Amino acid sequence: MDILLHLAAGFEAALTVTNLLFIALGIALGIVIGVIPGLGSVTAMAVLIPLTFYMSPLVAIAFLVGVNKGGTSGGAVPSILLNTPGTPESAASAFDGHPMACKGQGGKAMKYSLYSSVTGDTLSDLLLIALAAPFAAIALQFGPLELASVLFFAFALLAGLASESPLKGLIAIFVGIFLATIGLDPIDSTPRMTFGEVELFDGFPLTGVAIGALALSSIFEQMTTLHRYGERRATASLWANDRAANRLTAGEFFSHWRTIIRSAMIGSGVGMLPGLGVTLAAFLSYGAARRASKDPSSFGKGNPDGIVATEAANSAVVGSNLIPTIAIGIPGNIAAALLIGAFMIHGIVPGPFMLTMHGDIIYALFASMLIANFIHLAVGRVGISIWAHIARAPRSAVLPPVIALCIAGVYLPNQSMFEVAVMLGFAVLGLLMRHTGFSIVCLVIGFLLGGMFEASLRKTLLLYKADFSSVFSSPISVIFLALGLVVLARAFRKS
Amino acid sequence: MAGTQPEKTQDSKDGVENATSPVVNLASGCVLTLMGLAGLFWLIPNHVDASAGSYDVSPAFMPNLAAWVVTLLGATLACSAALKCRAAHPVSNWPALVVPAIWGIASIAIYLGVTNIGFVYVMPLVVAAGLLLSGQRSWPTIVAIAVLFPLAIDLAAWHLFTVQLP
Repeated sequence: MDILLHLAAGFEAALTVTNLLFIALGIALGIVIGVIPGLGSVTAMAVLIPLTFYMSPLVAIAFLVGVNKGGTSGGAVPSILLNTPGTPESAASAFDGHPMACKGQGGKAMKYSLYSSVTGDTLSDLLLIALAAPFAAIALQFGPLELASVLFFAFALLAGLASESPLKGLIAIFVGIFLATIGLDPIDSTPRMTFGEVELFDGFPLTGVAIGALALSSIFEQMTTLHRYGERRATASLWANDRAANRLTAGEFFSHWRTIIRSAMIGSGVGMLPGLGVTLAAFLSYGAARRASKDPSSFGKGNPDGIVATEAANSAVVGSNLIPTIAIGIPGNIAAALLIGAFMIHGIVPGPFMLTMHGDIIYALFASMLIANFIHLAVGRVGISIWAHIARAPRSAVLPPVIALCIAGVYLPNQSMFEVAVMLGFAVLGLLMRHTGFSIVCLVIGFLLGGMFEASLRKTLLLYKADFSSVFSSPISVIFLALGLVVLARAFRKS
Repeated sequence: MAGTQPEKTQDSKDGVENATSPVVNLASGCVLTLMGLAGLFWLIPNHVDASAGSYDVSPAFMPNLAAWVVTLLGATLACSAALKCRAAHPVSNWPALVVPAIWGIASIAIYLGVTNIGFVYVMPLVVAAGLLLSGQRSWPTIVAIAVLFPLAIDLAAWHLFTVQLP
């Protein structure tokens, strides 16, 4: 009952013209950027974070959530029309979407994609609203020892899943943690590895690190690939003029309700666990839909269930990955990590106290997320034919201007060329990591959570006077440490 | 999975990627070990106050812990790669490392150009070079994008945020 009252207040705060306009703008921008092959929701969020410095916390976060929602679903457009996934999580949409488009049903495939995306996302948002408060209440029982153990588990999970080998994943995470220690000590404010440079006192700026390592390094990489291999262009006529062939009725869409619910649950489950990516949710869901189908051989030949399963699952991750973010301050994936950065920029510290200290903003955000789904449906429906044109824009014309956008975006908030230098430096580091098989995601999450890991570990050592047997005094800690060790051991054995 | 094979996409590059050559792993492991040792024996002792406050552990604790882990894991990576090299005499993919080096030089040039000459003068050259590199050969498109886009950003920064780009 309390949740409904808070949510009603949230709707009251969220239903402002400014908020609605920025949500719509975020969704449209997210779809446009997601539609461009290679630029996904993570790139879109990383590039657009600096713009939010000038917004109120609610509008800023709602805008970024809109970008994330739009970017996740926008990737399906080039998958379906060009067989070139705009985002990795929509790669499985190409399996059945593109064959449908080749039969002249491109419009119908895109409608399946949009409706599944919005439905999966809405189910996941409802799950977030229902579970965030109970999760946070449990998380409030966590002391520094438990938090350090949960972070260890998250790092182990991430190292095992996000990298070529767990060894390289762990190295990337600890390099990130090491880089996070540069700057003033969080407890007694003594400078650490700053070389007397005042600009380093606050450590490396998060926006510079995130945009450089995630977005700019990807742009550099794609430009190099284009230089080497050229561009793949679509040639077939994918959109028949036959309106009947591209019509999708509500009854026809909801006849796939089993796949929708199954996929939304898979996406939500994957989103709740730190480190498991959106891509994994999409492929797990596609596999599950194929196994559950009466005619599995039709998959890959234009079965709408394939699109529904992929898009409902990848969009369901968007809402549920905020459950660990809000409850314990640990991001479910890299998009949630960027949202944590945005929360921190706006003075909101993610974690169990978020709901008690900033409950008004969080419930307004929940309300914004639900409203955003309806706006997503409207923007997506109106824009289906427009996005198709954007998807056909050559990457060679789209990627280079993004470099200028990244430089201006990082410079704008503080007018600091130091931040631009950090961004360029991390872009080259990111590129080097891509070429040597180290995970950038591990580095960025290590950097983001490094401060929290250090604080909880130091408090634990202080509280228990460096008595390591105290670990066994907390069942939660024992469980998470054991899970972390099991995950690491399995990952090492598999590699 | 049935159906068409998707193109290798962003996540496959920043996440799970094709196995790297053991030669590159050996070099990466050695570089990381050396960097870890430099951190442990030069950077941290000279640039972090190691004395602990009366209510806390030393500020050098976490940098030391992270540097030790990187050193040990880097050495493990180097050793395991060295064993694989001895067993299989793998082919090196060194040319792949030329790409980050070239982008490193380009990044330094972009930074120096923007700092000393100015965003609105340097970015058209950067964007035009990027368009050419990416395979764009239509001169009207190159000129239009390279000139108009940075100019539009500069004007937007000034009129929307009253910030003068460098």
